Amino acid sequence: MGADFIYATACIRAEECKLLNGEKLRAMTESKNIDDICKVLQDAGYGTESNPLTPGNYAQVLKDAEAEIFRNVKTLSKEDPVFNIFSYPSDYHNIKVLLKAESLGINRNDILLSNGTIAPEDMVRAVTERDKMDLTEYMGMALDEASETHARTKDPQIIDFICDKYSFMDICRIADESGNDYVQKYVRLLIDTTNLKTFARVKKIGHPWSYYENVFVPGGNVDLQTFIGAYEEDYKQSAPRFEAYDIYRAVSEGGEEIDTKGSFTLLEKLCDDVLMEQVKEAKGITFGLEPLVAFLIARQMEIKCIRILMTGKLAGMDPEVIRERMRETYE
Amino acid sequence: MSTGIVLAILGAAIAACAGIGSAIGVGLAGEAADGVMSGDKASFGSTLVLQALPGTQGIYGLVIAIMIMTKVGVLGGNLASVSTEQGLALLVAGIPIGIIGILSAISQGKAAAAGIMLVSKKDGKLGQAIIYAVMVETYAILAFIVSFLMYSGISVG
Repeated sequence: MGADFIYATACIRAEECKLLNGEKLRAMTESKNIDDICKVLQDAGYGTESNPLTPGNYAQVLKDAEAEIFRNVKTLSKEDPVFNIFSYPSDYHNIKVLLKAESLGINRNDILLSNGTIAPEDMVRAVTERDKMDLTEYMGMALDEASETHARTKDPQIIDFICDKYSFMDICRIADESGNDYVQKYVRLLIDTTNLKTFARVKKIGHPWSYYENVFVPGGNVDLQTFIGAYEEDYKQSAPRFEAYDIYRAVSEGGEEIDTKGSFTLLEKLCDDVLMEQVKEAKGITFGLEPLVAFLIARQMEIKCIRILMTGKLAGMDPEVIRERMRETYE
Repeated sequence: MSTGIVLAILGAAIAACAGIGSAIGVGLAGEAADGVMSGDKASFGSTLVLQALPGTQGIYGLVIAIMIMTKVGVLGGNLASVSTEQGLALLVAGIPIGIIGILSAISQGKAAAAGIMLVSKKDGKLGQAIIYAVMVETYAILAFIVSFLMYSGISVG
């Protein structure tokens, strides 16, 4: 019953009440004064006395807060490897940056991310020397395959596709090794939503379905054939194919908006919302790793909402438009 | 010392083992209490009440153990004449509270830990959290009654 995580779960439960709920976020969208929003966010724990959150520094404050929350939750979990599912995308981002910079003969170490499992300087050495000692098996395979394929095709986008595919393979490996149903279900749904978002974009650009085959990430609930079958149809026609899956609403309602307005906003929001619905299952688990994972995702989603809110407010967007983009919160 | 006395002492030891469950249960609830104290909502008093709940099984076990030892004269210093059958009966009398005490205290510890988390999230839920944890106590009390009735029905000497 996860008795090892009693202390950690109790800490997290006490922190959960500090999460911003949907009502507070909606009220902030109505606020006319950006300083009032900053004050509410400051009270919610974003920014410090010495470095308060302001419209000028909110992006950095949120980034720091995200990194700190991740560190705290990982420490509480006694460095459980399952949290690598949140770090691997940064490692693969660094591999992509380094390979692309290498092919262009430039140095872009300034945009490397430091919240991966491998320190940026170690990753630089690993990629430049093709030394796979510190890398996971899949990272090594991604490095080889991406550099070989890129050398052959000269297409920089292929590096992204290959790295993304292996990133999810590493994430699936961690989820499988954890033996935790909750994490496995979350990862499968994450893959489904990623595949759906890619599907929508690739289709909109007008690539043939064979192109989608290369970017499809295996390991989700929805198989490639279902997506391929829906490729030539509009979303209204293809939605019934997804009826048995959790992403059905995202396909039908989000897809309809793409059909009618050409906008991806609703689809992306509904993808995040379906993930949050899945994450909320942790509320019924008294002790264990699940509440920790759920809290981390909840905080990440909260930070995403704050980014949407701040960006919208600073751009002078209508409160109604900002509200439409707000994600479901963990409450 | 007769075999009967040894068996009776063994029965007292089994009854006292309920304390194992209490130690685990109080420990689980204590861990949860430590965790929620990092927030602002839970108070020391409310978490302490919940943490103490799984401790009662250890007390029930101790009572039965003392009663058995008193009956056979181990505490008074004058050992009674206890046959093997009587000793065995006293041993069996210690089993209900010994075993059920361990299991119920662990379960109660988990319920109390969950209650502590509830208190840390919502104000005014202490009463409900206590009631949920106390429900587990029922079965420890039943085991205590069974052990006591068995003990009462055994005459020695």
